Amino acid sequence: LVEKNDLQDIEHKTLRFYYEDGLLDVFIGGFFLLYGLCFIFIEPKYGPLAGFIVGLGPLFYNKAKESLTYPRQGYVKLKKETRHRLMVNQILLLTFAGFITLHGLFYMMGDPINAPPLILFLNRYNLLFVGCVIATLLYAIGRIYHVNRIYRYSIISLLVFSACYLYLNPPTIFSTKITGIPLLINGIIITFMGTRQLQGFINKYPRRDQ
Amino acid sequence: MSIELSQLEYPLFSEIDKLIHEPARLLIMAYLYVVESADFLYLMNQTGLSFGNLSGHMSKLEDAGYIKIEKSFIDNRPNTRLSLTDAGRKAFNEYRNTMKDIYK
Repeated sequence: LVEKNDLQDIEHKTLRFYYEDGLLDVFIGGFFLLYGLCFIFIEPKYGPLAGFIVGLGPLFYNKAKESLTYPRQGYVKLKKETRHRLMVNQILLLTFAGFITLHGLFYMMGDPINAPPLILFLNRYNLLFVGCVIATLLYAIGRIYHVNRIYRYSIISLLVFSACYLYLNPPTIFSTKITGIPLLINGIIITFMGTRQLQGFINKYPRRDQ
Repeated sequence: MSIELSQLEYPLFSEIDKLIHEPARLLIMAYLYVVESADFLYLMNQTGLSFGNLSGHMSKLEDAGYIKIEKSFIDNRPNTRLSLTDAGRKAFNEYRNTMKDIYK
């Protein structure tokens, strides 16, 4: 316990413990589910509405933490440096996600005729490209929060998008309706696994007074 | 007698903070060291100590001025929040340095 590495291990364990409730998983799954539904059934122009609903997510997330997690697991306030480091990583992650999404959409929704080879390549494999971006983001989330089970979702995303690419025979130009299908499947799987995690957490930690 | 001898041979041993050196208290201090504050339930879950055991160690650390205990109510339920004081943080750092010197 006196070595720096041991203290880092304790810090990582603290983060893992903090996210043991599975609410983060349900939140991520819900995000994919909502966007999948929007892409398939609703006009893409309603995307900002979905964005607004997703924006409300942290509010529900914090409420759920207060009512479900803290009375069972206890409350811990992370150190200022740790909170700052997490915040910086989250901002970097969001910036990267936004940059990739906007660039991807810009290139994939552009005119594929007379386009440079890279854009033709992106259009041809757009479903795989989106799958790789999502898998990378999930891997980064797992790294930032030291939650190993998020890596599973990264692999699942790759598999789901690859399977959809093979079986759906997607068009060689980005289509929201087609992309919505793997997003929805991914959302259903992750939400289900997150709910199971939450159920396990509730059984493991009954409500206790201090 | 043997303890006195070993302390003569290894003067660093006498510098070890006995209060922190106790395994359960060392664990409490280490968990509090990496966070800003934590409540009683969190420490019980993380350290695996029982309610009575943790209370006892908490009191000793509080008496030494190493931890600060704040009691409040959240949703009509009692909540006990603990954090390391500056003296506690300093003592833990000194303990770590002493132990490292011994193992050198």
